[in-house]
Amino acid sequence: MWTRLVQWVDERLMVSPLWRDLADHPVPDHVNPSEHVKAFVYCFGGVTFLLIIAQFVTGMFLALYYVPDIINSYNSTHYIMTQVAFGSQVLAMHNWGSSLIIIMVTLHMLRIYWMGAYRKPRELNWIVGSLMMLIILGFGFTGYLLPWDEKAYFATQVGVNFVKYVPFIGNALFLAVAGGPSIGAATLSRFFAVHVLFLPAALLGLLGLHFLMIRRNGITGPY
Amino acid sequence: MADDLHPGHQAKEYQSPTVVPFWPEHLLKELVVGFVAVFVLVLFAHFTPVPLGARADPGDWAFQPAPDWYFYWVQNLFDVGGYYWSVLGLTSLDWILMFALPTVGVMIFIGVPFIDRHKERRLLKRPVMLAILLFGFVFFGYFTANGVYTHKTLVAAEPMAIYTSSCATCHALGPLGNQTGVFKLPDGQYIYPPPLTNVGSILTASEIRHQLVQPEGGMPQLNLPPAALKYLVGWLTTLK
Repeated sequence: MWTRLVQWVDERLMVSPLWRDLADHPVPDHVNPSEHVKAFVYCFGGVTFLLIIAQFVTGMFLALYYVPDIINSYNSTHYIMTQVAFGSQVLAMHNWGSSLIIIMVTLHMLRIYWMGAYRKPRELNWIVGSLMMLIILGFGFTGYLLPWDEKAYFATQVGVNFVKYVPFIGNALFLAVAGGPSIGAATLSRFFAVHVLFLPAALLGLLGLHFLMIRRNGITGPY
Repeated sequence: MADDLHPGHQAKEYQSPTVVPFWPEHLLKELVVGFVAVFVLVLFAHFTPVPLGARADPGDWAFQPAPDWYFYWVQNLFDVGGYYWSVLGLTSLDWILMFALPTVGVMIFIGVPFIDRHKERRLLKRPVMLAILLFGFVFFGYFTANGVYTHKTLVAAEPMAIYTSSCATCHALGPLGNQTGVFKLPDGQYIYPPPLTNVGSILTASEIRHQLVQPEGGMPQLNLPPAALKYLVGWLTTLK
């Protein structure tokens, strides 16, 4: 029954060659921690990916209750922390998860740098990875505003003011980022949209490229 | 398993007999490491709730903002850099410090594979890359530590600044402020503001807060923002 169902779906989707390619692709022993304990350094990227998935999941559940406007963002955050079942736990995981991702992605980057793994033909994968690092910092910056407490407001004010120094377009850029002459309701809407729609879309696209390039180029040889 | 689609698999480490397939031999083991990380996050989150401050008040002139820990270096870099930039008299060229140099930094970060022209992969045999890495450690380490220190210093200095701007006209504090013990209001009435030198041993924290929010005895309403209240009450209770 199960086999027939899978066959029925696969006749139409034809994913099993893709799955076989993914499942059977070889992993050399120098990156396999059960062969060499020191190969644990190769896990940092995968752990970062798993933590990113965790951020997506906890973020989806927070979005069930969070309301992005200047009255209710604070109220709904407080409500999540005090009234919602496991709300405090999920919010804390999302909050501290961002720090853990920064730590893991930095370790991952240091491993690549240390081993010189960005050599030809993997230059493009370093570029994609460094862009994802900037996107992750963007997640941190936009997410910091969303609870709309004092530190959120004033830290964002400091951060957004830096764009004024961009030559020629600085003031226009400030208006584009803040949505007005000062940090306010428009800024909150923008940061929310960027945090939950724009940045995840960009991150998923680049993650796809990142993994595709690992498959195409294979893993760098032993250090 | 080397094929045209995955040219990387032709490398010799892929031809060894100890190569294992990705699923399930490798991924299941790697997931164990990953779930340990997620479990650590679950535990840490359980014991460390998110600190939610007071509701944002754009008029709060006393609040000293702090970024998330991984952004301390940005603010401190621009604070310290901006100070020396103005000492050098380059204020009109602020865009170089605030835009051009950070852009160069980001380009160096993205362009690492093209900067590294060394033949060797060993880091110790790649002096340019080793130098960039050590510079990065010192750079981010210094500005992060200095940023945290600066923030703590500013928070500690804030109550005294509020005293000087909002209290000193009427109240004495040791040798500071109004030493006469009397103040004439605009309507001609005299009030006698007590010195704050030992206020912490006379009033409790909640009495101090009450006096600041709903002043009695002729003291004017100061309309202090929430952060100023928080800093002031904490500080005044320590004056014993």
